Amino acid sequence: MDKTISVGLSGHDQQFRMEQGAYDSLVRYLERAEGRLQDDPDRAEVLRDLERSIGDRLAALPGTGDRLVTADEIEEVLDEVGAVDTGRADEHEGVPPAGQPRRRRLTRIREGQQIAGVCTGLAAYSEIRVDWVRTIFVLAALVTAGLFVIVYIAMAFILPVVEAPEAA
Amino acid sequence: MHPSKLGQLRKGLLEFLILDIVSTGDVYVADIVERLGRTDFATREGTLYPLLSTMRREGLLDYDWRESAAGPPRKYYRLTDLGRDHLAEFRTYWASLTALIDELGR
Repeated sequence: MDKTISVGLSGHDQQFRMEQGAYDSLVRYLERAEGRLQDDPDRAEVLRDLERSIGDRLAALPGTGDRLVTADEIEEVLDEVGAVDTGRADEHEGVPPAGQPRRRRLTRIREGQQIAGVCTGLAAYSEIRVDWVRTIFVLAALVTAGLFVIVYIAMAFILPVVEAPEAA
Repeated sequence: MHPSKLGQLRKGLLEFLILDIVSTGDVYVADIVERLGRTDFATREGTLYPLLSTMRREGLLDYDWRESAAGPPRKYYRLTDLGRDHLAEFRTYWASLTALIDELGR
């Protein structure tokens, strides 16, 4: 037989007993909700609201307070509560939220390149001046008896190329 | 009309419908779910709670905790002055918009 797990939900004094599968579904739901709410300053409060609603519905299931909640029952409850949706008409996808730096990609950059743009790309990615990146590369190539020349050539093949740092 | 266009319109309108429902007096989330459920705007808690918390942050509504007969205390929502202003403004705009649509379509 499946393991049973006792779960406390926000606001509810009672513990809910669940099958392992039911518990797993609940945890998955809450984790997904938390992920979707990551830009919401009231994330913790919304999650408590959802837990309270889930608890209300579990408490209303027929049977005594310490009945075992099955995986099917929790699926039904989670479906009634519905997946977290933060989409509002005035929010467009693809626009990074203000105050958060855009995630950069490591690329080759044609603008200002000497050979293949590997160093300009590394400089934009690391925010280190390109002269320093080049110096480090040349020194590393000398010290490693040319191994870094191969590293450079490999990166020139692997990295995607863009025209300007803004596109990286 | 393309379904996604209607979807965008619906999302925008949902906020005003919530203001409308909350304006009828103290309501808690199950009341909102129930009243919207009978309409084209059926909405579940997963959508409502994030929206309500955003509207509260914007100062349109607020809530009080109240004991319930069974289970944990509930949040009862009410409109703030700003929320009432928004709703009144929206109603005026809506009336003029529907009048305009009627007139242009004649």
